[in-house]
Amino acid sequence: MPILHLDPGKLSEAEVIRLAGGGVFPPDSPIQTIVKRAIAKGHALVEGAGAYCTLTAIDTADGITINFGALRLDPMPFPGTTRMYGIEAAVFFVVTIGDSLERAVDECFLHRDPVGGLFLDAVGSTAAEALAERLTSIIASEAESQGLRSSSRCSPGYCNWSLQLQETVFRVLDGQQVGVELTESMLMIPRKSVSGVVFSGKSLHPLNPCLDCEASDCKDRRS
Amino acid sequence: MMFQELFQAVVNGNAAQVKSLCKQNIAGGISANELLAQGLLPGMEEVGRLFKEGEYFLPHVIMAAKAMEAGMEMLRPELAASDTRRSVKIALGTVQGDLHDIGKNLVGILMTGGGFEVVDLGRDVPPDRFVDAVQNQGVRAIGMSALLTTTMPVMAKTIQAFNEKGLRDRVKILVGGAPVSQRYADEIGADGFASDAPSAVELAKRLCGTGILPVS
Repeated sequence: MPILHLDPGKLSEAEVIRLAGGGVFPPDSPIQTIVKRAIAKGHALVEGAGAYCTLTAIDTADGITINFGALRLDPMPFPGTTRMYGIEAAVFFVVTIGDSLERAVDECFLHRDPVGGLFLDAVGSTAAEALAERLTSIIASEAESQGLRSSSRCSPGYCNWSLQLQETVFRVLDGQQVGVELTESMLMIPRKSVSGVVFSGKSLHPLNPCLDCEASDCKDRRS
Repeated sequence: MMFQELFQAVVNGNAAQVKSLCKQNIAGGISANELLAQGLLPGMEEVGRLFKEGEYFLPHVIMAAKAMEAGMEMLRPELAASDTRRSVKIALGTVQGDLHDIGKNLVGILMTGGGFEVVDLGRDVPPDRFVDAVQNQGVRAIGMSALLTTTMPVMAKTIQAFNEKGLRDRVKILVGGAPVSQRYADEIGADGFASDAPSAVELAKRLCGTGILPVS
């Protein structure tokens, strides 16, 4: 499985402010200065890496079955799902920004700069999401070149999926190759990492997991 | 007027000005108690109000708490000498198996700004360390944070540990973190749930009286 070195690109100030609980955008002047500084510092600390693995998959009324060597991971936990998706492949992925930014956040708190730490942490989250978007667009382009359509990405702990699914993702991926470890409590280290699955298929029904999710007040809901 | 200036400096989150005003007024013969009661504490109350009304956001509250902390540093020697006020001790920690500590750190800063004495137990904290803080360190309240559904049950285990040691009535227990809810707090028998750092301070004040108690 090749390791990709990824760049998060330009990070959204509005997203950093949202994740830091910073309120309205554009922010007042002192906050704006802190945000810009945090983005510049954070961007330099991002060591973006990612990997993915494509497996054949079949969706049935009972769920989605993934073929992983001799191992059959069946069914994928989509509680409440009523849709048929036309899935032919499942692409497992993980991305990480590395641990340098996390250490810098710890330093901020240690040196009594909590506002700087808060925004730097939000920069890390924004960067991790940006890397996940980068990798999923690579996955989608590759699928498209084979005449396949791709779904949105779904992650363990989201989309009604149990966090325990993290174990499955890591069994498939061997996240340590990208420098991501999974703890017993299903926590990824470095913490600013994103794992998940993208589905693809020739006649894939446009998959929006949010449509099957009952958490209507979720801040990440894609309507 | 001087109290108003101090009040405003806290509201503006201007730590340097708060520090200088406290120093200046103490030298001018104003008691630390008055500066605290008429300048710093009302300033933080105003910040809490502005946050609740959506005029202030988390970074503003943190800056104000830092300003309050800077003022407290100046007042602490006199307050300690006069022995008229003491801080309530609260222990904070991210529960065992969880390493997310930004939220817990922010709560700690705001609790300090709210006048509490914070014992930071760090992250990956097992139940017996929370118990030990109450048993041996004079802690009257604990705040537990969990960011994962897989680590939330440790909160229940910690409360159970307090019950087993017969210490449950000696401690107020606050819980928080992204997957935690009021319903979960009720289910496991916590005293309260806070959805964000400023609310955690409000909750702690409600449960413990206030961060800084007059000595009776």
